[in-house]
Amino acid sequence: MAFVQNLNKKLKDVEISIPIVYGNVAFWLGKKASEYQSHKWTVYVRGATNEDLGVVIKRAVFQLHSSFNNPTRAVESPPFELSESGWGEFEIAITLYFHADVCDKPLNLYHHLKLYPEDESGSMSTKKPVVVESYDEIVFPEPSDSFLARVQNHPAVTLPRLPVGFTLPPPVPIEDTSKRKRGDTKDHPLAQWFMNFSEADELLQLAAARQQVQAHIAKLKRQISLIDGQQQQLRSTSDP
Amino acid sequence: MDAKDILGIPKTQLPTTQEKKSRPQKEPQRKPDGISREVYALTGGLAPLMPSIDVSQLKKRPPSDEKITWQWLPFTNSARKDNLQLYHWVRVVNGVPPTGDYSFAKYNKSVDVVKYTDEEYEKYLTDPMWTKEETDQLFELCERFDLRFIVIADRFPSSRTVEELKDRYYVSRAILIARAPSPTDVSGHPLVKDPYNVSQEVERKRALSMVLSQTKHQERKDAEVLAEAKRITDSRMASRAAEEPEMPVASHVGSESADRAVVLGDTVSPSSNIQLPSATVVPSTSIIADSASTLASLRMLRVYLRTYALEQMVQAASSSAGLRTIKRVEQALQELGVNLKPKVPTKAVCAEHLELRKEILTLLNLQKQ
Repeated sequence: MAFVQNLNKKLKDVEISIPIVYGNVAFWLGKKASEYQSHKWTVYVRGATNEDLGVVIKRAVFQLHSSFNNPTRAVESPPFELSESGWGEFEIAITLYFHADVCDKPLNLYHHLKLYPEDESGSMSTKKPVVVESYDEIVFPEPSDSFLARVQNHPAVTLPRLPVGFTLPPPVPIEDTSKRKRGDTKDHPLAQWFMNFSEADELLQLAAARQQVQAHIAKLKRQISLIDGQQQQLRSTSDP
Repeated sequence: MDAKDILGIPKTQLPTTQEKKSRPQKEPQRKPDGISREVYALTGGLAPLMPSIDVSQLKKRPPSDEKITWQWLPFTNSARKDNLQLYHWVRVVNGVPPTGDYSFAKYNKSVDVVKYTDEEYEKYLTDPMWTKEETDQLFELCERFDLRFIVIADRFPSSRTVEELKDRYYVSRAILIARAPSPTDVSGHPLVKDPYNVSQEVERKRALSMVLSQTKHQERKDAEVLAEAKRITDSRMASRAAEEPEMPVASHVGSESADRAVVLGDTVSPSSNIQLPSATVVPSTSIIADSASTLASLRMLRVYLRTYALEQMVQAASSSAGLRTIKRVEQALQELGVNLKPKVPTKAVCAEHLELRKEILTLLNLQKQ
């Protein structure tokens, strides 16, 4: 578990992860819908707890279907989202570019734009949108010192317990957020539609499943050792 | 209907040219008015089918002055050691049979095996591992079998490996060098130019047999590893060359295969530089090796998604399992009410998910017993 704080300024065994949610919200335009513009949709990447991702992400590039004008849309500041109107569902490639001290390689996400409800018989309503979101976590396995220092107290970032004896340089004071446009999505107009992702349920599910499987394994192992024992006995009685 | 024409025209062509003149005059007359000229030509009417050859015009072979007869004569073969006499047909010209050796005798080639005298043996060739008799036998077999060591090894009275015999044979090299008045004279000789390295040969043959006897599974794995290593080194070159990220490359950036080997430590894993007996890897250690190598390669990425990491680890854990087993694991997961891909893939959830999968695999393996 020992780590080396070498001149490279990279830490081992300390990983930073950013929980994110990405997906789309799509509203049917109802009366105002035309043949080619039946829905108004927004595709986005947000912090899982709606915190500001701008601390890590420098810009997000959304690659739309080639039928759109200028299909490569770059968003230079949070919230990282893009709104459009259209009629078709297609795959959107989202490329995340990070700040220089975070990572020099971008990361790709893929989201299939969903406009129409799963249930085909369900009527489309202009009030209730179709929402599809995916939860994931961006992992930086070997973050640099400066990155760590900058984000150590930021709510968007998950840090593990730091090793004993490890001291971080003093945190860089966060800029006065009132001067900049808000990057977090807590009060976002679409926030009411955002899904909640809680790991607790899944953990419970998994724990229960594991218990079951472990019980099965134990039972089988007992049976096998019984059979082996019986075989041993038979063998020893048959020998002269 | 036109058979007469076909036959008639060539016939009339043979004799004199006078008739040739009259023939073209005949043709326009013959042409029927009913059908067109082209159609008539199609049926082979007017034009001859083939340029006919005037036999008499062909060049005659000049009458040769010689008289050729064929005779049934005996012959001997200088390639043979006995005096067997056989018979065959011989082309006799003007009563003189051909001279010279049997034409196939020149193909009886043999190898020049060095012959040593007893003195030379005493001086140069004594060896604790070999008796003189054995060495003599070896050389005699070499000559008999034209240095075909596989056969020689088979015929050799005491069991020696092919490499040992070859090695011993190469002592004749020493004789050549000794006999030669000066080293430069003999350096062109093939025996002297390429000496025989026993240990290297043994090693080489062992490695070759291992490569040839690899199972398909091992071959596939080797190919995968090599392709992976190549991709990693290639993308590493690319990332070195690029100043800024133009192409999004989210995965497979980073180390050479050497780093992976270092991380793996003692686990046996095929690398492109070392030829290890990878065919002898036990399945359970290979799972651990795969997981460890996956972890290492993940760590080499600067950034990755948790779902991607989970996918890689799942693949690594089930790398030794067949498709059917993987399907059964997924079935078991569904029966237990667990999502095949976690909806909330946090670090803890992914870890639990992976452990669950491994436990299911263990259970399935136990059930097979």
